[in-house]
Amino acid sequence: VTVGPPPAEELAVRLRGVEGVSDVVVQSSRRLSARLNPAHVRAVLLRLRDAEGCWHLSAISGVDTRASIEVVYHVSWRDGVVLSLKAAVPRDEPRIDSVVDVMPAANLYERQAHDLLGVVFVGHPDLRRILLNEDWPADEYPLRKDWKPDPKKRYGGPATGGDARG
Amino acid sequence: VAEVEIPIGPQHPALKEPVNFRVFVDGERVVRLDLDVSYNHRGIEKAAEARDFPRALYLIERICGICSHAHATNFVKGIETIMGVNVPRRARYLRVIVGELERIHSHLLWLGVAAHEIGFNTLFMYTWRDREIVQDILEAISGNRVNYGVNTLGGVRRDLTDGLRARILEDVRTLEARSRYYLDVLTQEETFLVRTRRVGFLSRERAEALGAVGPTSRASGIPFDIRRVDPYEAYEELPVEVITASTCDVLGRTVVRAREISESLRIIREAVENLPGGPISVPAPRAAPKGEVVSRYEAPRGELIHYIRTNGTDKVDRLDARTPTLANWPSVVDAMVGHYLADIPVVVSAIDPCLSCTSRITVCDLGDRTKSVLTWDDLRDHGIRFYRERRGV
Repeated sequence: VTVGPPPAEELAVRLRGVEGVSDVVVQSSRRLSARLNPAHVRAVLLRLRDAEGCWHLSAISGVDTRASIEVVYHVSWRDGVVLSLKAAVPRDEPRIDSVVDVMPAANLYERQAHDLLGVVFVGHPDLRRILLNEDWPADEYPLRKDWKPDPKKRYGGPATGGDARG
Repeated sequence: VAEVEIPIGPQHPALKEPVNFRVFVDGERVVRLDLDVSYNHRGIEKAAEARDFPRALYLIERICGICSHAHATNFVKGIETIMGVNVPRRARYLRVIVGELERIHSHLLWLGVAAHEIGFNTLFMYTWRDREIVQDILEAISGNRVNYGVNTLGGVRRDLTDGLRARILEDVRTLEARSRYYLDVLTQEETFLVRTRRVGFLSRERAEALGAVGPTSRASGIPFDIRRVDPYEAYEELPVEVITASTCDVLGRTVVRAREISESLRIIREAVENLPGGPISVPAPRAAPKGEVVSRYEAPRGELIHYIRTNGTDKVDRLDARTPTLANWPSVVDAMVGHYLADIPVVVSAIDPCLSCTSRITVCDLGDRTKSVLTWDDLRDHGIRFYRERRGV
């Protein structure tokens, strides 16, 4: 039986003193979210890993809020707590430091956000496309809210009227 | 050193969906591995933004053909959390029952595939025969063998009659005996042990760093099971024993899944015997308020995450689905290094990838620029022959 405040509350108290972290919100006993200054992403994740016992990067989600692109880091603890750190980067220049060397699990998640939303993870060892096909037009990111397929363009596969088997 | 590059895939007759591996080998030893999963991106996350919740639910159930209930349950419980809908207890139990049946069918399917990959086809036939019992129960509950369509916002759409409950308990007894038999075979049969013991080694440290989930991480000694650490639906009332192994190899991943079948059967028995009364659903609103949720679910392959944002309408603003297989790919890449080419089928199969691998293999010798084409079957035969000649199995 656990006594005292729920785990998420305790973590929230400690997070409020971390440089680069703001607007810490406890959503439920095992869920918190916070804003993250993109310039501090590596330092904050390093601190969570080494000083806070956070051991698992569950996912990195990219979200187009129309005002900016948010890169959301979902980090989790053994006791079931998940913290979602939201770093907003400009839509016209969505750059943020890669955290692959801090948390190797970030590798494929960063490539995914790069592929679908055009986020550039500076320092990623191998920032190639991962989900879209190789002949997908460059500079088109389908999960951006203003993206519309151009009927005059090809988005991969056989040419119009052609036969895939040649 | 003549390092050889071997592209494997993207088509694979054993598993679903395509993935391509570029394997660099030195003689028989794998030096490194690169993977390409881009062959079948369906744009479901984008499509979900254009459908109202009830329609999106049917779409999301089709993200995966094997763990469809995992995706559907994870999505509805996320939306229900944002809406503040309280799902009735009976519905929570029913979601757990279908979810655990799905886990058993998935693990039995996997066990058959893994047995086939090492040439142990008798075991493949046995497991797939027993899987039919599970599929028949699922069909009796939902009307479907796959994509059960059991969930709805606010509860479930199918109830269990007393007759069906009695039948499930009887089938559970049969499956319990079968799962004990499988555990005996997997831990004693020499053919299986030689092909899996110390193969695909993944240390606890690497598994943690690479973000491995599910049986892949539990076989490296990490007691991480969402049903236990972050309980949802009825798992608070039906506590799950977290199954782990310390061998960090393909054998461990197999034993974990085999023991999880027994544990799932125990949960199903408990849930069916203690099924609470009351309604199976409550009305849910059409639209969800502005909000966000990180919904987690222990799918057969591990931690499944749906990150959902809503904006006050009846559609999601953003749905990010991180499937367990994506989290486990880096572990395959790591666990293959230093092993034999002959071990690729079983190591790849050991994470139970929900994407498939191979049909056509091009062997390209960088030394003399020769190229030859193999099929996945050729590679599988190569593995079986390799071990027969060297180890006599």
